[in-house]
Amino acid sequence: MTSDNIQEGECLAVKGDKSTSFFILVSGMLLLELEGGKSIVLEKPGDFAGLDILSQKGIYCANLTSLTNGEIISIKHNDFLGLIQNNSESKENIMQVWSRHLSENIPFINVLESEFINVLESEFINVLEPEFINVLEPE
Amino acid sequence: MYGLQAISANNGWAISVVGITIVFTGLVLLSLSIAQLHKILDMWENRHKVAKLKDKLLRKNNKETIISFTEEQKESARQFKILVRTLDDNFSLPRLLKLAEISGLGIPHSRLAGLLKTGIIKPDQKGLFTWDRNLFMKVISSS
Repeated sequence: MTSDNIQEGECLAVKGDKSTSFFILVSGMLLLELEGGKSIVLEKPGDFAGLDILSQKGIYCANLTSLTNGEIISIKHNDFLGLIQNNSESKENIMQVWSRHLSENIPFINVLESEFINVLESEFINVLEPEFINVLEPE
Repeated sequence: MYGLQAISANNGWAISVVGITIVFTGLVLLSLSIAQLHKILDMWENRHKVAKLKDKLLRKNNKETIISFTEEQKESARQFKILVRTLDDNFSLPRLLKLAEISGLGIPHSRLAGLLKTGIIKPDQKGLFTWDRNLFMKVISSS
Protein backbone atom coordinates (compact mmCIF):
# COMPACT_ATOMS: atom_id res chain seq x y z
CA MET A 1 0.00 0.00 0.00
CA THR A 2 1.51 3.30 -1.06
CA SER A 3 0.49 6.91 -0.84
CA ASP A 4 1.10 8.83 -4.06
CA ASN A 5 0.79 12.42 -5.12
CA ILE A 6 -1.12 12.80 -8.35
CA GLN A 7 -1.00 15.59 -10.89
CA GLU A 8 -3.78 17.23 -12.81
CA GLY A 9 -4.50 15.27 -16.01
CA GLU A 10 -2.61 12.20 -14.83
CA CYS A 11 -4.07 8.94 -16.08
CA LEU A 12 -4.24 6.41 -13.26
CA ALA A 13 -6.00 3.58 -15.08
CA VAL A 14 -6.68 2.93 -18.74
CA LYS A 15 -9.62 0.87 -19.91
CA GLY A 16 -8.45 -2.49 -21.20
CA ASP A 17 -5.13 -2.43 -19.37
CA LYS A 18 -4.35 -5.13 -16.84
CA SER A 19 -5.74 -4.05 -13.48
CA THR A 20 -2.90 -3.85 -11.00
CA SER A 21 -4.04 -1.47 -8.26
CA PHE A 22 -7.02 -0.41 -6.23
CA PHE A 23 -7.17 3.34 -5.54
CA ILE A 24 -8.51 5.26 -2.56
CA LEU A 25 -8.83 9.01 -2.86
CA VAL A 26 -7.22 11.05 -0.09
CA SER A 27 -7.53 14.47 -1.69
CA GLY A 28 -8.24 15.93 -5.10
CA MET A 29 -10.78 15.02 -7.73
CA LEU A 30 -10.90 12.02 -10.06
CA LEU A 31 -12.92 11.37 -13.19
CA LEU A 32 -14.02 7.77 -13.74
CA GLU A 33 -15.09 7.24 -17.34
CA LEU A 34 -17.65 4.47 -17.76
CA GLU A 35 -19.38 3.01 -20.80
CA GLY A 36 -21.37 5.09 -23.27
CA GLY A 37 -19.85 8.46 -22.36
CA LYS A 38 -21.09 8.16 -18.81
CA SER A 39 -18.85 9.05 -15.94
CA ILE A 40 -18.71 9.85 -12.25
CA VAL A 41 -16.59 12.32 -10.35
CA LEU A 42 -14.87 11.12 -7.19
CA GLU A 43 -14.16 14.00 -4.84
CA LYS A 44 -14.75 12.84 -1.28
CA PRO A 45 -11.82 11.46 0.71
CA GLY A 46 -12.41 7.72 0.90
CA ASP A 47 -13.98 7.46 -2.54
CA PHE A 48 -12.40 4.59 -4.41
CA ALA A 49 -11.90 3.08 -7.84
CA GLY A 50 -10.22 0.08 -9.36
CA LEU A 51 -12.18 -2.78 -7.85
CA ASP A 52 -11.69 -4.23 -11.32
CA ILE A 53 -8.71 -6.05 -9.83
CA LEU A 54 -11.29 -8.62 -8.73
CA SER A 55 -13.04 -8.80 -12.06
CA GLN A 56 -13.08 -11.94 -14.09
CA LYS A 57 -10.99 -10.52 -16.93
CA GLY A 58 -8.53 -8.80 -14.62
CA ILE A 59 -8.56 -5.63 -16.68
CA TYR A 60 -9.70 -2.11 -15.94
CA CYS A 61 -13.18 -1.49 -17.33
CA ALA A 62 -12.94 2.31 -17.09
CA ASN A 63 -10.46 5.14 -17.51
CA LEU A 64 -9.48 6.94 -14.32
CA THR A 65 -8.06 10.44 -14.68
CA SER A 66 -7.07 13.01 -12.11
CA LEU A 67 -8.78 16.38 -12.58
CA THR A 68 -6.71 18.17 -9.94
CA ASN A 69 -3.50 17.67 -8.05
CA GLY A 70 -4.07 15.51 -5.02
CA GLU A 71 -3.18 12.34 -3.19
CA ILE A 72 -4.28 8.72 -3.49
CA ILE A 73 -3.55 5.47 -1.74
CA SER A 74 -2.77 2.61 -4.12
CA ILE A 75 -3.19 -0.99 -3.02
CA LYS A 76 -1.56 -3.59 -5.21
CA HIS A 77 -3.41 -6.64 -6.52
CA ASN A 78 -1.86 -9.22 -4.17
CA ASP A 79 -2.06 -6.96 -1.10
CA PHE A 80 -5.74 -6.42 -1.71
CA LEU A 81 -6.38 -10.12 -2.12
CA GLY A 82 -4.42 -10.80 1.06
CA LEU A 83 -6.61 -8.33 2.88
CA ILE A 84 -9.88 -9.94 1.84
CA GLN A 85 -8.59 -13.47 2.25
CA ASN A 86 -7.15 -13.08 5.72
CA ASN A 87 -9.51 -10.64 7.31
CA SER A 88 -13.22 -11.39 7.17
CA GLU A 89 -14.05 -8.09 8.85
CA SER A 90 -12.26 -6.15 6.10
CA LYS A 91 -14.03 -8.28 3.53
CA GLU A 92 -17.37 -7.46 5.11
CA ASN A 93 -16.54 -3.75 5.25
CA ILE A 94 -15.45 -3.72 1.61
CA MET A 95 -18.70 -5.43 0.63
CA GLN A 96 -20.78 -2.87 2.48
CA VAL A 97 -18.83 0.10 1.14
CA TRP A 98 -18.97 -1.29 -2.38
CA SER A 99 -22.74 -1.80 -2.21
CA ARG A 100 -23.22 1.71 -0.86
CA HIS A 101 -20.86 3.10 -3.49
CA LEU A 102 -22.91 1.47 -6.23
CA SER A 103 -26.26 2.66 -4.91
CA GLU A 104 -25.14 6.21 -4.07
CA ASN A 105 -22.60 7.08 -6.75
CA ILE A 106 -23.48 4.83 -9.65
CA PRO A 107 -27.21 4.18 -9.33
CA PHE A 108 -27.49 4.07 -13.11
CA ILE A 109 -25.21 1.10 -13.52
CA ASN A 110 -25.24 -2.39 -12.10
CA VAL A 111 -22.31 -3.92 -13.91
CA LEU A 112 -20.42 -6.65 -12.17
CA GLU A 113 -22.05 -5.96 -8.83
CA SER A 114 -23.06 -9.53 -8.32
CA GLU A 115 -19.70 -10.72 -9.57
CA PHE A 116 -17.74 -8.64 -7.06
CA ILE A 117 -20.08 -9.41 -4.21
CA ASN A 118 -19.91 -13.11 -4.98
CA VAL A 119 -16.15 -12.95 -4.77
CA LEU A 120 -16.19 -11.08 -1.50
CA GLU A 121 -18.90 -13.28 -0.06
CA SER A 122 -16.99 -16.47 -0.75
CA GLU A 123 -15.92 -17.77 2.62
CA PHE A 124 -12.76 -19.29 1.20
CA ILE A 125 -10.99 -18.07 -1.88
CA ASN A 126 -10.29 -21.71 -2.77
CA VAL A 127 -13.91 -22.43 -3.55
CA LEU A 128 -13.85 -19.96 -6.42
CA GLU A 129 -13.99 -21.26 -9.95
CA PRO A 130 -10.57 -22.21 -11.34
CA GLU A 131 -10.88 -19.61 -14.06
CA PHE A 132 -11.37 -16.94 -11.43
CA ILE A 133 -8.49 -18.16 -9.31
CA ASN A 134 -6.22 -17.83 -12.33
CA VAL A 135 -7.27 -14.24 -12.64
CA LEU A 136 -6.92 -13.51 -8.95
CA GLU A 137 -3.60 -15.24 -8.65
CA PRO A 138 -1.76 -14.64 -11.91
CA GLU A 139 1.38 -16.60 -12.55
CA MET B 1 -67.48 7.34 58.49
CA TYR B 2 -67.54 4.94 55.54
CA GLY B 3 -68.36 4.77 51.81
CA LEU B 4 -69.20 7.78 49.68
CA GLN B 5 -69.27 10.12 52.64
CA ALA B 6 -65.68 9.23 53.52
CA ILE B 7 -64.61 9.79 49.89
CA SER B 8 -66.26 13.21 49.79
CA ALA B 9 -64.90 14.25 53.17
CA ASN B 10 -61.26 13.49 52.15
CA ASN B 11 -61.32 15.05 48.64
CA GLY B 12 -61.50 11.54 47.13
CA TRP B 13 -63.42 12.65 44.03
CA ALA B 14 -60.90 15.37 43.20
CA ILE B 15 -58.01 12.99 43.75
CA SER B 16 -59.67 10.39 41.50
CA VAL B 17 -60.19 12.92 38.74
CA VAL B 18 -56.55 14.05 38.96
CA GLY B 19 -55.39 10.41 38.93
CA ILE B 20 -57.54 9.51 35.93
CA THR B 21 -56.36 12.62 34.09
CA ILE B 22 -52.70 11.79 34.72
CA VAL B 23 -53.09 8.19 33.60
CA PHE B 24 -55.03 9.06 30.44
CA THR B 25 -52.62 11.86 29.54
CA GLY B 26 -49.75 9.41 29.90
CA LEU B 27 -51.51 6.85 27.72
CA VAL B 28 -52.30 9.42 25.05
CA LEU B 29 -48.67 10.60 24.98
CA LEU B 30 -47.47 7.00 24.82
CA SER B 31 -49.79 6.17 21.93
CA LEU B 32 -48.72 9.30 20.05
CA SER B 33 -45.07 8.36 20.54
CA ILE B 34 -45.67 4.83 19.26
CA ALA B 35 -47.62 6.22 16.29
CA GLN B 36 -44.56 8.27 15.26
CA LEU B 37 -42.04 5.51 15.97
CA HIS B 38 -42.04 4.30 12.34
CA LYS B 39 -40.69 7.68 11.21
CA ILE B 40 -37.76 7.45 13.61
CA LEU B 41 -37.08 3.88 12.48
CA ASP B 42 -37.25 4.94 8.81
CA MET B 43 -34.77 7.72 9.51
CA TRP B 44 -32.47 5.29 11.31
CA GLU B 45 -32.65 2.78 8.46
CA ASN B 46 -31.89 5.51 5.92
CA ARG B 47 -29.32 7.31 8.04
CA HIS B 48 -26.77 7.21 5.19
CA LYS B 49 -29.22 9.01 2.92
CA VAL B 50 -29.96 11.54 5.66
CA ALA B 51 -26.24 12.20 6.14
CA LYS B 52 -25.81 12.51 2.38
CA LEU B 53 -28.71 14.94 2.14
CA LYS B 54 -27.24 16.96 4.97
CA ASP B 55 -23.85 17.06 3.19
CA LYS B 56 -25.56 18.06 -0.04
CA LEU B 57 -27.39 20.93 1.64
CA LEU B 58 -24.24 22.08 3.41
CA ARG B 59 -22.28 21.93 0.17
CA LYS B 60 -25.01 23.84 -1.65
CA ASN B 61 -24.94 26.55 1.00
CA ASN B 62 -21.16 26.69 0.86
CA LYS B 63 -21.22 26.97 -2.91
CA GLU B 64 -23.64 29.86 -2.73
CA THR B 65 -21.45 31.75 -0.34
CA ILE B 66 -17.97 30.87 -1.61
CA ILE B 67 -18.35 31.26 -5.39
CA SER B 68 -15.97 33.91 -6.55
CA PHE B 69 -14.18 33.53 -9.86
CA THR B 70 -11.13 35.43 -11.03
CA GLU B 71 -11.34 37.05 -14.47
CA GLU B 72 -9.27 34.21 -15.87
CA GLN B 73 -11.63 31.63 -14.41
CA LYS B 74 -14.61 33.53 -15.75
CA GLU B 75 -13.09 33.54 -19.22
CA SER B 76 -12.44 29.83 -18.93
CA ALA B 77 -16.04 29.24 -17.82
CA ARG B 78 -17.26 31.19 -20.86
CA GLN B 79 -15.13 29.01 -23.13
CA PHE B 80 -16.52 25.87 -21.54
CA LYS B 81 -20.00 27.29 -21.98
CA ILE B 82 -19.36 27.62 -25.73
CA LEU B 83 -18.21 24.02 -25.87
CA VAL B 84 -21.22 22.82 -23.87
CA ARG B 85 -23.51 24.51 -26.41
CA THR B 86 -22.25 22.08 -29.03
CA LEU B 87 -23.35 19.15 -26.87
CA ASP B 88 -26.74 17.89 -25.68
CA ASP B 89 -28.39 19.28 -22.54
CA ASN B 90 -27.24 16.19 -20.70
CA PHE B 91 -23.70 15.80 -21.88
CA SER B 92 -20.78 13.47 -21.39
CA LEU B 93 -18.07 14.92 -19.14
CA PRO B 94 -15.19 13.01 -20.78
CA ARG B 95 -16.47 14.29 -24.13
CA LEU B 96 -16.44 17.88 -22.85
CA LEU B 97 -12.94 17.39 -21.47
CA LYS B 98 -11.78 15.99 -24.80
CA LEU B 99 -13.29 18.97 -26.62
CA ALA B 100 -11.55 21.35 -24.21
CA GLU B 101 -8.23 19.64 -24.86
CA ILE B 102 -8.72 19.72 -28.63
CA SER B 103 -9.70 23.40 -28.44
CA GLY B 104 -6.46 24.18 -26.66
CA LEU B 105 -7.99 25.48 -23.44
CA GLY B 106 -5.35 25.95 -20.76
CA ILE B 107 -5.27 23.46 -17.88
CA PRO B 108 -8.64 21.97 -18.89
CA HIS B 109 -8.73 19.37 -16.11
CA SER B 110 -8.51 21.78 -13.19
CA ARG B 111 -10.76 24.31 -14.95
CA LEU B 112 -13.34 21.57 -15.31
CA ALA B 113 -12.85 20.63 -11.67
CA GLY B 114 -13.53 24.25 -10.73
CA LEU B 115 -16.82 24.22 -12.60
CA LEU B 116 -17.77 20.95 -10.90
CA LYS B 117 -16.87 22.29 -7.46
CA THR B 118 -18.97 25.41 -7.91
CA GLY B 119 -21.90 23.38 -9.21
CA ILE B 120 -22.05 25.06 -12.62
CA ILE B 121 -21.60 21.56 -14.01
CA LYS B 122 -23.75 19.09 -12.12
CA PRO B 123 -24.27 15.32 -12.40
CA ASP B 124 -27.72 14.24 -13.56
CA GLN B 125 -27.42 11.02 -11.53
CA LYS B 126 -27.53 9.03 -14.75
CA GLY B 127 -23.87 9.27 -15.64
CA LEU B 128 -24.19 12.47 -17.65
CA PHE B 129 -23.87 16.11 -16.62
CA THR B 130 -25.85 19.34 -17.01
CA TRP B 131 -24.89 23.01 -17.17
CA ASP B 132 -26.54 25.29 -14.60
CA ARG B 133 -27.20 28.46 -16.63
CA ASN B 134 -28.48 30.48 -13.67
CA LEU B 135 -25.46 29.75 -11.53
CA PHE B 136 -23.15 30.42 -14.47
CA MET B 137 -24.75 33.85 -15.02
CA LYS B 138 -24.55 34.60 -11.31
CA VAL B 139 -20.85 33.72 -11.20
CA ILE B 140 -20.00 35.57 -14.40
CA SER B 141 -21.85 38.71 -13.36
CA SER B 142 -20.37 38.80 -9.85
CA SER B 143 -17.57 41.31 -9.35
